[in-house]
Amino acid sequence: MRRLHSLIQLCFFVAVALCALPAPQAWADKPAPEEKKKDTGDTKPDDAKSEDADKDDEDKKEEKKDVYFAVTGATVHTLGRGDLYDATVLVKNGRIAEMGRGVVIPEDTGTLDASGYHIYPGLVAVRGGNIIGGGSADETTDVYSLWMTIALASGITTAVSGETAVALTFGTVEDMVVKRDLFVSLRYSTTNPKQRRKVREGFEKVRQYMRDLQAFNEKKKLDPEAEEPDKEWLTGDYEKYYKLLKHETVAKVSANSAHEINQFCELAERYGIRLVIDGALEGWTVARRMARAGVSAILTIRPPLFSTDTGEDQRLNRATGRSIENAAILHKHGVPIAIVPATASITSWGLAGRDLLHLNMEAAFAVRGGLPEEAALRSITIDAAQILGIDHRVGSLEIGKDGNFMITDGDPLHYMTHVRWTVVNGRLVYDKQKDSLYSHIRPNGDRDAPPPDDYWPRRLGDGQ
Amino acid sequence: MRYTLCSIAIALVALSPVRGGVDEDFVVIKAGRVITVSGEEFSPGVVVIEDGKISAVGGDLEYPSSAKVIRAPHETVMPGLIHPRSRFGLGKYTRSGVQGDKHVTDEIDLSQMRFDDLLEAGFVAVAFVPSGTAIPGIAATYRTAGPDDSRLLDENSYLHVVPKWRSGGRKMLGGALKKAKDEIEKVKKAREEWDKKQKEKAEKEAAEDNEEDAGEDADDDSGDESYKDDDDSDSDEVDDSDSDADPDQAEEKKEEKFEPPKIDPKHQPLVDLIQKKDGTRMMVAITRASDLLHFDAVMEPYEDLSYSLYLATSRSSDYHLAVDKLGEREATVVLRPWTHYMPYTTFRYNLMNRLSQAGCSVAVTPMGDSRDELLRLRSRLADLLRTGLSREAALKAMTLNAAKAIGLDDKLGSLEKDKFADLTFFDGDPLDPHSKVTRVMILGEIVWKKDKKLAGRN
Repeated sequence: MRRLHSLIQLCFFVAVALCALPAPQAWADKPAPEEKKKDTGDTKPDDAKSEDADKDDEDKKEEKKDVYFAVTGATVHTLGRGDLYDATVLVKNGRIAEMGRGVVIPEDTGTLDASGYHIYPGLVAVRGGNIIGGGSADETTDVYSLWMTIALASGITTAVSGETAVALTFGTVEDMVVKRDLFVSLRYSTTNPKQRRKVREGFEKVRQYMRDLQAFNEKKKLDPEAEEPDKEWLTGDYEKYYKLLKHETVAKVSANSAHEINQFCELAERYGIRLVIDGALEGWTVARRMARAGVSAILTIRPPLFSTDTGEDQRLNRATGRSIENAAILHKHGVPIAIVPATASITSWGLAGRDLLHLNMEAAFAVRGGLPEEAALRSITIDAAQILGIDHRVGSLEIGKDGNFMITDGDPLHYMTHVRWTVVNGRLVYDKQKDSLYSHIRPNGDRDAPPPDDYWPRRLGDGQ
Repeated sequence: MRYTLCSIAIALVALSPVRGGVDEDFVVIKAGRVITVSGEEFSPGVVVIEDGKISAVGGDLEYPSSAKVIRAPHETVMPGLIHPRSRFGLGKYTRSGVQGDKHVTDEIDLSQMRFDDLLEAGFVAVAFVPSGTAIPGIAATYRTAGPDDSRLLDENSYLHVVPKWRSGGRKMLGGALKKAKDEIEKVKKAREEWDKKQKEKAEKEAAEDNEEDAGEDADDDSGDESYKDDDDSDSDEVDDSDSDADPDQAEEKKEEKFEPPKIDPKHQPLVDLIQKKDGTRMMVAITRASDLLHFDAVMEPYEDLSYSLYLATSRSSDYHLAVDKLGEREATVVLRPWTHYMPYTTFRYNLMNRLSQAGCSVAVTPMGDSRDELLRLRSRLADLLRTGLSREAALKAMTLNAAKAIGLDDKLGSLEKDKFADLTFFDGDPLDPHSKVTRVMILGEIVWKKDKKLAGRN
């Protein structure tokens, strides 16, 4: 009897396993709407009407043909869904359609053979600097600029300017916007008690309104003539607070000292709002507090030195000031972190490795301070996207997300790794061998390749 | 045979004792060479001008014996040069925002301006633009000389659009076009509403007429009309409250009197542009290839708006990336005679040549409005010939395509029948840097001469 039972159990497992085999399909959170339509069209009986409908569908398809792009043979690091070896990533109309082995590539698909290379999600620059335009970046960006090319060469595919996150769509302005109105700003200065009281009173007032509204909604069920609470005053700052209290938006605030951070943590805790603390130099000293308040942080691992010209900041230049362990300690306590370099743009002094050209190096320095490698990588991809509220589109490789990824010749946190190709919205936008930027350095990822003719400086014993 | 006829005619003219026998309406130019720009070249050539307009061009033509003949056996005649985008002699000021109600004509006082530099460089027409960014106003084209009443060629040449593409320019242009579209909708809606009300009223009245049979007092109320004089279509409710017979009168009156809601004058030119009113166009300045993409994104909802593009010159301009896109749509582009640099390099490329080969109508505008630059225009073009620009394209860029860019290609820019006889004479080839302008003709009359010796020959 028991044996029979186990046999049935075994059968059950096999059945489950069989069901689970077409794994890549199962990953899709939502099946693409086009595919659904197709299915229903096929199952319809072949009478004249449906034929007409099919014709119409065909006409529509001719108007806007599906665009595919496939990368084959690479190791896909999905960040969150494990690694896939020798896998294919198929992008349809700018969104990832399928990943894994045995993916059927449609005809006339642009295909890139990336055997031996690694696919990572494109990096997210929480600050965009000069790689994109100011204001609403989708309207002001120079999509042919050298800065954008350099950013793509360092693996960045999403950048933020002001309150807009855009994809670095080199050569086109279509489908640039990832999200508008990322943050609201909140002033809550430690040195201005009047202002702080005003902010708190504002929150109290809006919270009272929300309670009234809830009460009204309950009352309405019994008494249809109940009076709705007045909401004409709910504009400006109040509207901002309302959105924050309803968790519709996130406030980005600038705070570096432990005292400032504590103030913001208290505010976040009291009203249950979502805060992103930009800077957080001394965050490591109050990591537990930050974790408890549920705030997240945007960090610079090698923060700029304060110039004596502009006045040295005595509060931070002390034993409890900056620490290379900042990111590691915050991560250990469960504070979500995003990492940006000291100079959030492409600069000539960035050659020293502190600008967006070296976003990955900044994260690598956090590893030096004790942050696990995966967390470091996540802090410039999916965690950064999460803090910006755009993780449904970018930051990791998942079916349905944007086809934004970098194809590298190694671990992105390694100092020797170069980005070989960058893909944004399913378009190949950077090719190391075709751009003069790095094409001469270790061509085709061959780390032992002989130096090119104009190698400089020449080493002793090069034998000329 | 024809030749003898001509010579007889000329002889007759010469012999005629009374000076008044010369018909001033007919002017004939007998030049060493005639460049038509739109067609072949004649060497020697004859241009016959009637009433200030070209009536025939050819190698050897008949013309009335009474015609006035201008002999230029050592000169080359071609259509006068056109400056499509100038601030020559105008003051400096800054203006921003959408200012479609501003006209450059308000700045120009011909009695205070001297056009000698332009004439010396061979220009017959110049399009003045209002200064500023965003949409600073409407450009106008003037002749460089001629009778006062003929100086203003076109007071609405184009809407001058200079968006700041790197900071909100796209938003500005998109917003302005949207506003213009809204204005059109507003008028349309008012019209529809008015029509609807009229229809309802007509129906109601028809019903009433049936009830009242002969309409007893319909005619009696005619005296009430005066009371309605000031009321526009908005006052329909007043009509309803009136006596039964009155609407009849009021309706008839209003049908003539429908006044559309007023359109914002600042956006009026854009409204005209969207409605494809005759002669409306805009010239949009871009500064790099990326701006074209943003411009296209703005223009997407609006079909076939008439525009030309001004490609501003800068050290790092990357227009080579936009050549194919511009060629595909056969765009009319205005640019300076300049070999552009590939961005961040010292490699140069002949943008004008690439654009004209891609299929664009390329017009040239001088590097600046100083006398030196005006005079140097032809030699700069000659420089571009060395790196591949065709002679034909260079000649067109100065004349026909420049006229096209300002919407005057049906009147100026080539030697064709019925175009204005606004011509320039050179003492050599116009694309030879050493040649000089010898005379300028406007509406069939010589208005400028290089020296008195030549003047004596006429």
